Amino acid sequence: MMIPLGMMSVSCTDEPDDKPAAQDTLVRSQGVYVLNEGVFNGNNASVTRFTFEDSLVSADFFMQQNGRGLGDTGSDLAIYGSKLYAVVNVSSQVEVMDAATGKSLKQIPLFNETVARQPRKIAFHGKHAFVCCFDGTVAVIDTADLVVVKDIAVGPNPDGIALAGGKVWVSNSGGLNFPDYNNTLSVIDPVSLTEERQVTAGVNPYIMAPDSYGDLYLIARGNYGDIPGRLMVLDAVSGDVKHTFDAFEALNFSIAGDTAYVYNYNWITGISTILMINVKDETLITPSFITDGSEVKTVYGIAADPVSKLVYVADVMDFTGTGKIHVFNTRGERQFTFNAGINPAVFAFLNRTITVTP
Amino acid sequence: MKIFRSAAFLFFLAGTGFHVYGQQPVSDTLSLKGVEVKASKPEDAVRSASPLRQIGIRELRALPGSNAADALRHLSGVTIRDYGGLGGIKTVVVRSLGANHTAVFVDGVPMSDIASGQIDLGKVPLAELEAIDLVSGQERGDCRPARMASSASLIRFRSVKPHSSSAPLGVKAGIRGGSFGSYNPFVTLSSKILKHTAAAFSVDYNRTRGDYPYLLRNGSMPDTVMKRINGDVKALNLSLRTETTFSDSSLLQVKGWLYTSGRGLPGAVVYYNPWSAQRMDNADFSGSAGYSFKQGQTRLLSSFSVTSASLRYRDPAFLNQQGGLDNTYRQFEVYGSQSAHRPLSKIFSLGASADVIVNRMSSDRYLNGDPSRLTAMGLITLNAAGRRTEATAEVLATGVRESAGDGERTQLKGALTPSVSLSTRITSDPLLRMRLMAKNSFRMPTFHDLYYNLTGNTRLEPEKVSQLNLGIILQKEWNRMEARLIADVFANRVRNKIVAVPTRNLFIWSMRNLGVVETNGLEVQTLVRINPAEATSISLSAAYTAQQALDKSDPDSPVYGHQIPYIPFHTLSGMFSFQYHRLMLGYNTLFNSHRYSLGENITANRLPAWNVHDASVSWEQPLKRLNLTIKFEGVNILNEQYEVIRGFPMNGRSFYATIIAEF
Repeated sequence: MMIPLGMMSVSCTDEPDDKPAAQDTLVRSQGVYVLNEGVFNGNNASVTRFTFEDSLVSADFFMQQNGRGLGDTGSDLAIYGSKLYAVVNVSSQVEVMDAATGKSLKQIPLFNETVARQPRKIAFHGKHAFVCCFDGTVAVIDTADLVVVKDIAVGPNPDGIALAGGKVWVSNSGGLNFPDYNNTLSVIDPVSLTEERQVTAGVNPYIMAPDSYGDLYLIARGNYGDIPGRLMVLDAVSGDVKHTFDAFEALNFSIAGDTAYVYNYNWITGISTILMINVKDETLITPSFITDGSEVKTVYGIAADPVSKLVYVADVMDFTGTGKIHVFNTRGERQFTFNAGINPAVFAFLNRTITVTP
Repeated sequence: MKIFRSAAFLFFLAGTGFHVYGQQPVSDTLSLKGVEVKASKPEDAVRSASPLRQIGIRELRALPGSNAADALRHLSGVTIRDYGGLGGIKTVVVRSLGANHTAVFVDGVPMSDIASGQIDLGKVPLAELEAIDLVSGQERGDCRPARMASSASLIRFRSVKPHSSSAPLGVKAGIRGGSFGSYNPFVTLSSKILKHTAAAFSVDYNRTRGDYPYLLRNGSMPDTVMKRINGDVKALNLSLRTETTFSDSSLLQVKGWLYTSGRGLPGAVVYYNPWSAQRMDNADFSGSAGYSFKQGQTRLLSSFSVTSASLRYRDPAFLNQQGGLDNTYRQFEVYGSQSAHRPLSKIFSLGASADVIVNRMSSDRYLNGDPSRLTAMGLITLNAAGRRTEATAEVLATGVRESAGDGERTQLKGALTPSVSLSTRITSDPLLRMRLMAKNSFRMPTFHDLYYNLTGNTRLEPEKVSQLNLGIILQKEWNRMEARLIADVFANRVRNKIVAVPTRNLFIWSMRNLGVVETNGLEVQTLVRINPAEATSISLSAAYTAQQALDKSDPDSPVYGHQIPYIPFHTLSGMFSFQYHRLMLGYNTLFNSHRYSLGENITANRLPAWNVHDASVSWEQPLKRLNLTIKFEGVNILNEQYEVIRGFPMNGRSFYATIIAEF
C-alpha cells in the first residue's frame, strides 16, 4: 500500500523568534535508502531507495545506477555530507556513492594482504569516516580523498561504532571467540586518531547511539544462553554504566529526539516486539509501539527519522526472500509499506537542506 | 588378464542376452556353486518392484570422470549437490530427499557420516567400480542387512572382484591426467593368495590444482575470466580386498579401506573478495568382513565393520583471538549385522535380520562432550513370488539410545517403519510389468544438528519420510536389439523436516523440526541396445525426471507452496555408447532446469538451467600378454559456464587422457 505523503519539513533554526532572521534553513525529507544485507555468500547485498515525491521504490538502486552488485553481506549504510557510504562485510569493501544519485564514487577495499578485514559499521567526525573491522581495527577514511589514512587497533571483533561526547566509541564484541565474548568499548579520540582507553560494558557489545542528554545507549547481546541481550545506558564521558534495562530483551534500537525505539525478536516464539523508551529519564513509555494492530513478522532493523517523524521497521519475513519496510508514525500507526531486498536491516535518510531568504 | 576377460565376457553377454546389468547378491554366487558369473540377475531393473537404476561396467567405462558422483548424476531421480570443480564435496539428493535419506554401501560396507549425514561421493574412485545401483524404496533382495532397508534410498557400489585365475599375479596399472594439473595414477594387484582366496590391492592417488577458469558475471559489467583460488586436492585411496570361497560354497569377503585427502575449499565466489584460505583434511578408515553361507535351505549373511573418520577444518583467515579456526571432528562406528532368509513354501519366503550400530564422535566444537549413539534394528521380510507376481511386505523396527556426552541427555527413541511392494507381469512379449511401492522411513538428526555449538538443538525429533511409487516397465527384445521403457510416478512426503533457522542474527542459525515438503514427480528411463553386427554394439539411454518439491510448512510464510531450494523442475540425461571391436565411443549429456537457491521462488534466487556435454573415445590394444587401453575424455566440451550451488562455479571445458595396462 502506498499513500502519497506531502513533503515533510521541519525548521532547524535555533535562533529566537524575536531576532530578525536573515535567513532560515529548512531540512526536507526526500526519501530513504535501505541497506539489504542479502544472504551470506549470495552476492546479493543491495540498496533500495524510496522517494516521497513520487512514492517510487527502486528495488536494487545500486545495481540500477552502477550496473554491478553491491557485494556480499551488507552491514551498514550512512549519509555524511553529500556522500552515501555502504559497508559491505564479506566483500570487505566500503562503497562510497553520491548521496543524491547513488552513483559510485569509489570502492575502498579493506584487506590485510589476502585476509578480508570484514568491515562492520561506520561513524563520522570532522573530515573522517571511522569504520570498525572484525580484525580488531578501526579504519580511518578521509572523506574528501576517500583513502584509508590510518588503522587504529581496538579490541576483538568490533561490531558497533558511534560518536558520543566528542569521542568515537567502538564496541568490542569478541563475537568470533564464542563462547568467550568480550565486554569492552574502545574510546577513540577523533582528533589524535588514537585509542585513548577501554571501558567495560555488557557482554558482547553491539549497536551504540547517543541521546542528546550526554548518554550513550548500547546493546549488549549477551551470550545467546544464560546472559540475555540487554539495552544499557552509559555516561558518554566517563563510560560508566548508568542503567541497564533488565525488564526486556533487546536486539537493536534507534533514537530520535527523546524517544528510543527498541526491538527484540524472540526466535523461540517467533514474536517481534517493539517498545518505546524515554531517553530523557530512561523510562519505558510503552511496551508496544505498534497501536493499530499491524503485524511485523520478523523485525530486523529500525530507524526513526527525526525530520519526517516516521519510524521505519524492517521485516525480513523468512530471511530468504523479499523483505518489507513498514513505515509508522510516532503514534505507532502504520502509514505505508514497501518491498525491499533480501534482509533489509539499515536505513539512511536522504534530506534536502533548503535555504529560505525572507 | 582376468578382469579384462571378464569384461569381454560381459560385452559378449551384452551382445547376446543383455545380461550385463545388475548387482550380484552373494546368495546368487552360492546357488551357482563354483561357477563365477559376473553378469548377474539379468533383469533386476525390470523385475524390481521399487525403482532401481543401474550403471554397469560398460557404461562406467564409457563415462568420463574419476569419482562415483560423475557417474551417479546420470541416473534418473538424482541430483548431485556439487560444490564446484574438482575437489568440491559432492553429495546426492534422490527424489528431492536430502543426502541423509540415502544409505551408501561400498561392497556391502556402509559409508556413514554421523556428524553431518553428508557422504562425499567424491571419495569413491571410479576406476575400481564395476556396478552402481540406486534403489528408491524397498530393495529386492533376499538376504540383506536391516540397515539397507532403513533409508528412503540406497546406493550400492560394487568393486571389480579380485581375480582368481591361475596366473600368479594380475596387474592393472594406469594413469589419468589432464586439465588443471590433474594427475591420477592407479594400480591394482590381484592374486590368488591361497587355495580358496583371491586378493586385490588397489592404490589410487588423485591430485589436481583445481585452478580452473570461470566467468564472473556481475550486473551489466563485462564478464571477466577469473581463476578459482585454493581449489587444490590431493587424495589417496588404498584398498585391500580378499574373497574366499570355501568348498561348501560359503563365501568370506574381507576388506580394508583407507582414504586420506587434503584440499583447499575455494568457497563461494564473493564479489570484490577472491580470497579463501580454508583447508580440509580427511582421514577415513574402514575394515570389514562379510560371511555368507547356506545351511539347508536357509541362507545366512553375517557382516561386521569398523569405521573411523577424522576431519580437520582450518580457516587461518577467521578473525578470532587464536588467529584462525582449527577444528577436528573424529567419528567412530562399529557395525554388526546378521541376516537370514529361507523359503517357507513354493511361494512364500521369510527373511529376518538384526543390526547393531554404535557411533561415537568427538569434537572441540561440541558443547556437551562426546556424544554417542546406539542403534538397533530388526527387519522382517515376507516375500511371495508367483509366476507373474511378486509381493513383499517388510517391517523395520529401530531403537536408538542416544547420549549427549555429558550424561544428562540420554534419550531413547523407537520406531516401526513398514513398507510394501508389488510387481506383476501383465504380458510377456513384449514384457509389460507394473509395480507399486510404499515405504515409510526416517532419519535421525545428525550429531551436528544436535550438538554443534550455538546451532545444535538437542530437542530435535527424527525427520520422517513416506514414499509412494507406481510404475510400468515395458521391454521388448528382438534378435539384435532390445528396447526398454520404465516410467514411474512418485509422491514423497517429508514431515518434521530438519531445517536451519536464523536465530540471533544471520550468522547464527539453529536447527529445528519445522518443515513439511510434498514432492510429486515422474521418472522415465529408456534404453535401446542394438547389435548390428559381430563385435559391434550401440547403446542409447535417456533418463528424465520431473519433480515438484513444495514447501508446505507454514501457510502464512512467503515460501509456502514454493519449490524447495536446489531441486530442479526437470532433469534430463542422455548416454550413448558405440563399440566397434576395440573402439569405444561415448557421449553423454546432462540437463538441469532452473532452480532456486533459497526458499522463495523469486528472480533474485533463481539459478539458470544448464546443459553439459561430455565425450570419450577409447581403444583397446592387446600386446602379447599385455592389454592396453587408451582413453580420451572431453568434459563439458561446449564449455558451459554454470553453477549447481549458487556461488560455486563448475569447471568449463577440460580434457583428460588415460592409459591402462593390464596383464
